[in-house]
Amino acid sequence: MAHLLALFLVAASWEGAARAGWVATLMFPPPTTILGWLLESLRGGEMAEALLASGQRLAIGFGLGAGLGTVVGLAMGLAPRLHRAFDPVIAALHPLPKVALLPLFLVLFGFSEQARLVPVVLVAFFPAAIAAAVAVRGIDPLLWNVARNYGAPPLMVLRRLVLPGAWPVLRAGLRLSLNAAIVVLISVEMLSGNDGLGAAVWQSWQTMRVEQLYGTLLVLAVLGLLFNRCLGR
Amino acid sequence: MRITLRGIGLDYPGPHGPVRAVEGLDLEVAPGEFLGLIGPSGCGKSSLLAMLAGLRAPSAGSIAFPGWAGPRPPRRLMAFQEHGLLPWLSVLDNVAFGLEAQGMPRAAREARAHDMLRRLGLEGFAAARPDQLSGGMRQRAALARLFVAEAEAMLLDEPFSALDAQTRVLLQQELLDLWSGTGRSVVYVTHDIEEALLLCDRVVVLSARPGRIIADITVPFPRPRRILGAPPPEVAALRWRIWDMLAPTLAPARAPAA
Repeated sequence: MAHLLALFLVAASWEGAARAGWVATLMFPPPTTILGWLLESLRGGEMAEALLASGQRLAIGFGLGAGLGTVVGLAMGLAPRLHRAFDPVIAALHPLPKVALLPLFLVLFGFSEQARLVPVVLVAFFPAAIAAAVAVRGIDPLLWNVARNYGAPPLMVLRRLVLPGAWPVLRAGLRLSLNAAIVVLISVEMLSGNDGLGAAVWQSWQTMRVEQLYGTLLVLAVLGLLFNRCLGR
Repeated sequence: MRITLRGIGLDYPGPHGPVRAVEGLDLEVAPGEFLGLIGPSGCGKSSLLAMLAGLRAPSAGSIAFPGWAGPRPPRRLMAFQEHGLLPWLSVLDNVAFGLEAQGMPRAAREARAHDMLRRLGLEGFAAARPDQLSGGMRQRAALARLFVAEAEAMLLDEPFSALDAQTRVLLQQELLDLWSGTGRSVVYVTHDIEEALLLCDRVVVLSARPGRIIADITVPFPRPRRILGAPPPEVAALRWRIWDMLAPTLAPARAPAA
């Protein structure tokens, strides 16, 4: 309740300041104007279209990247040899700015959907892989001994020990993956898209439609909040 | 099931090369025997259990199960000082863990786990998670998991040493009640001389590292035993005999050589 009240107070003082002329409405239009535009664009279908385009890319990019990352990370956590082999590769590739590689992907894949997806997939891969590997290695050795001693078969070990044991840390990694994927997706769309929320943000700057900019950012924030909540607090 | 250990040695890596934890150990566990292992810290008691459980290979010697003709190796299951329950599973799933590992269908294994929980007074906690239980109840659940899996040999590593004195006595009695009549062998590691004498048919005393057998004592305490009653005077006398054997091995720890 308190966070809603705080949000309302910020919005109300912004509204008051804008209407009183204390802030430049060109840069800070009153929230009611932003909401008005947002409702209109939701009704008009432009926002729905942008949301759908970005949502699809996010689902595919995050799903593929984080999914692969989880599998690779779990394997690394389970097999020390794999960990020794892949950990330096991950350490070297993770810090590379994936958006900066976009031109490379545009050359490789052409001006296509794949070229826009690859940076999202890559950026979602690393946090999930790192978290999954750390999570598995952090499982209490005593519990491994219990599973071995009781002769649990591999699938049971995965279902009863590895996945639930790794979940709290893995979940944090998935949230990092998701947020990185959103940031990179919007950047990619700003740079190369003709649809999606990122393109809408860029377009609103180009045409100086500031209420559109804030409205789109608001949608992004709500989207991020919803997706993050799906992965727990 | 009979277990024989011949010439068991165990080295583990130390900062200045391998350290010999156990050396030249010969031991036999008779079928249905409740055997105690007692000795100073670091004498390899717990490692010995891990070797008996097949979790660790001896550096020298061999472990055999003469007369065992089953289609699979005999089950040797452990219970641990820190219960080792899986924190994300319900008490019921934890107790049924061994049966699930053996491939028993859900309905059957849950029925058996429920029976065992009832015997141990935990029937109201089947759906609880381990962290919702007291320390004593957690060890009860760990005992339930152990006994429901029907191992040929049960290996207990100081299971009650973290419990308060009253709870410990209750659980010692429950352990004896669960075990009596099963005909299963038990190897019980403890630091507590009195506990070893109250529970075991035979107590094997190990020396300080490298662990060797320095005494093998049969406990003259008829079964069924009541832990809460006073044990026979000859059992009480044994306590001091074992203490006299262990005391010299403890001395170096108290006053390290210059």
